[in-house]
Amino acid sequence: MKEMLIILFTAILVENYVLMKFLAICSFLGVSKKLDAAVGMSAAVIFVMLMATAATWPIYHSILDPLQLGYMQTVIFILVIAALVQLVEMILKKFMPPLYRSLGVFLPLITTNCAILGVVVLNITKTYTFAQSMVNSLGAGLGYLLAMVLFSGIRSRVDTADVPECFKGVPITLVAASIMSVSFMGFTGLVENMFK
Amino acid sequence: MNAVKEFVVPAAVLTVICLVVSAVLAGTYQVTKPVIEAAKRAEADASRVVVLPDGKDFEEVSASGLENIVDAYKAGNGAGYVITGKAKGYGGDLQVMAGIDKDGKIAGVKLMDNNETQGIGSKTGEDSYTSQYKGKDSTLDGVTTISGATISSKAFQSAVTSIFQAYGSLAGVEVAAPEAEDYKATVFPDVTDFSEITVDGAKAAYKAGDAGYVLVMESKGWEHATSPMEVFVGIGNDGKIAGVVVGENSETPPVSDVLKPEYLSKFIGKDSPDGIDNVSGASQTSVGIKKAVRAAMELAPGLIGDAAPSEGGDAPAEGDVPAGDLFTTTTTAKGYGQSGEVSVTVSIDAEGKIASISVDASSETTGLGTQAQDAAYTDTWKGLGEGEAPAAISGATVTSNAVQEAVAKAFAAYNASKGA
Amino acid sequence: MNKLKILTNGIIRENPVLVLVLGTCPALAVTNSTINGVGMGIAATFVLICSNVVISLLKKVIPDKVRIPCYIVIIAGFVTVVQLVLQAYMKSLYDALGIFLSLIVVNCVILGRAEMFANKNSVYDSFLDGVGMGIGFTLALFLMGALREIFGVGTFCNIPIPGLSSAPIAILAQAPGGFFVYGLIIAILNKVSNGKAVKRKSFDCESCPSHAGCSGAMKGGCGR
Repeated sequence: MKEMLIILFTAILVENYVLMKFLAICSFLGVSKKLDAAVGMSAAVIFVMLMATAATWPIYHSILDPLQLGYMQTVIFILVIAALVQLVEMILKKFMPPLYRSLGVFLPLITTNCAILGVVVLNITKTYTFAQSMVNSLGAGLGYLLAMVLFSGIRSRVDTADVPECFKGVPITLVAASIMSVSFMGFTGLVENMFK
Repeated sequence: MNAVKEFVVPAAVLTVICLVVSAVLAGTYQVTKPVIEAAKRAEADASRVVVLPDGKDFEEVSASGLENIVDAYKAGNGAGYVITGKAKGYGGDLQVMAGIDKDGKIAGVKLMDNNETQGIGSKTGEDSYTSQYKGKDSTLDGVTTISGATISSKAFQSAVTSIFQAYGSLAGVEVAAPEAEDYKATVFPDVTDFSEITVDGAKAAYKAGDAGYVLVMESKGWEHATSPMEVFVGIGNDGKIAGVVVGENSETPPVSDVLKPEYLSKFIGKDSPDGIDNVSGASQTSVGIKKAVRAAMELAPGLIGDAAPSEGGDAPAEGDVPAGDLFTTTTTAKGYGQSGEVSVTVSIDAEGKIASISVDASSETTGLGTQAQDAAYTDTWKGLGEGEAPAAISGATVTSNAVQEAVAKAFAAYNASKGA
Repeated sequence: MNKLKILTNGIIRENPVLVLVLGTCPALAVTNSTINGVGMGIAATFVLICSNVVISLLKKVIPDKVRIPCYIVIIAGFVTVVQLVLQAYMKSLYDALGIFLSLIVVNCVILGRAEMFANKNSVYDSFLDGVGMGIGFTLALFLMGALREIFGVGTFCNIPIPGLSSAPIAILAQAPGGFFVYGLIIAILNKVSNGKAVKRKSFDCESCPSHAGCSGAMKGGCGR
């Protein structure tokens, strides 16, 4: 149990997928402008991450690894993720329209989101068990949510600030992200000691 | 026709592309695989050369059947073996990789995976500790432990010993075991001829020349210790405690003050651990030792009786009555607190009345429950029969009740012995 | 388009990292040292060129409905080839790039160029485009990597620089430094060109190359 909590909080804080691992930057910088979009995107990300892990982990451990096909990992995983997203989008559209309206629009964007492929590959690299992988993916998604929500707050302030002309738009967003990243660096060492 | 175009063609194209890509990848993999494997092996070899500098071309050999061994490699050029062994340290298993050269001596050791305390047990990974192993053979003569990191050091040593055992089987050579510390010699320093005897109730026993006996009792000390303590109790011919030494144990450093001679010498000359205080901060360990001593002393009459009669025989100690027509037994009952136990030695005379009782309530609350050990309390039991009990100690009801319970058990044993 | 123009397009006018602001993930993650940055650039360039050529070759064969999955498979295939080759012959670079090697698959630059250029142009043009974009990508990563290494660690390609190696601004070589240096470079570019150089003004959907094919964008998905 303690180990699971450590994995969870490491993924959320210490090794935050966006601010420390540099994954999902495009969507992070793009979708975090408005809070409701940020939350919607994050929910979609968490959803897809969990499902992608649930699908790819068994595929690797029961098919690819035993057959020494580890090198096919990249191709298979990205195909599975793309197919999964399509499938989910169709199902949501047909059977859960309200959910589709809030989440569904973000789904196609998520296929090329580095964080999804990143987290499923990391689960394999770190040789996590199935349960540990699910917890890690949940943590990654929650970390993404945390970063998005915090950042959207910051961005709304930046928009009303007097930014020098050459910094307007992309540069100031990046600088703001860098400062947020510094604050997350402060979490190092926290997790192991939290659960001692 | 449109259906074909709509679904079959796209699916077919996708499938073909997938197959082609898979074929290309499989081909690339076949080409690169040997190179990748060779690189991996070179990396692993590099780590083994650290402990066996003359080794080359390491080949893995089977480690199955070898106790406490993680893996074993033989150097292709005959330089020796590199074996990784494990042992239970302070924070769990620790792994040690050792290079044994062809003369059976250590070429190098390295601490591998471990969970030892940073700055304490982890010092076993430092050069200042590992360098002493270089050149040693399997007896590990002269290897010292790091003060304050006994458990980690002993685990490290134990892993190296296992490695030597494995080396012995793999290389097919005789491997001398490290000399076990001779604790019994510490109890009777002047005795040179120890002969092993069997005593029921003791883990091991030795007749110590003409001086007496050494009983090795196993006793649980600190609740979190990973193994029980071995307590060597020396019993002199006069039936008194000649010395107490604690051998193998996993009691932790601050607590292990109780293992030092300064404390243990308090036992010398007594008949029982009664009246000896616990070491503050190490009550569980102290109680464990006392229990071992008490148990040993119980077996003492049997031993001393067997030996050639010495002058005077068992000298009566305070509270005790010479054996004879008395039925003496020691019973225990749960006292106050989680691990509190009260031990009571009762002597019941032929009329079924208590001739004497002594109480070990050392794990009870100091000043309250421990009053049960005082003569002022135990005297109140004298002359009482089964079912009778004196007033409980005010403020120590639980302990008093425990004493009662133990006495009741003693009577039950007394009755059983009469009926049998 | 004139062949030379195609080639140089990706290097300056439409530099993927500095002008189009794409492929930000690897640009931030592996530029903590010059060698890693250039290594990643070259690996991605190889994949880009190969996939551009193959996709252009097959542009008439691949049906529109399945084009994205097909592109992905082809790109993933080349990425895996690069992974295996690096693992065998350049293990240190392989270890340094880590999962970002796999992530070349979802690099917006590659998928974007496939979508916007390769499936509409001739093989030779696509090849040139791949080369140009690749060079531009590598140059940008080299620039970021060099800056972060020189000022963050005090070395250049692992050779210590006197004066700087004793007092590096360590944070530049770590996560926040990546964001900061990137932002700073773009700001400088903006200043120098009076706002004309950087085509992507903000991080919303329209500037993303997949915009045309992204159904999310059609519905205003990207946060509108």
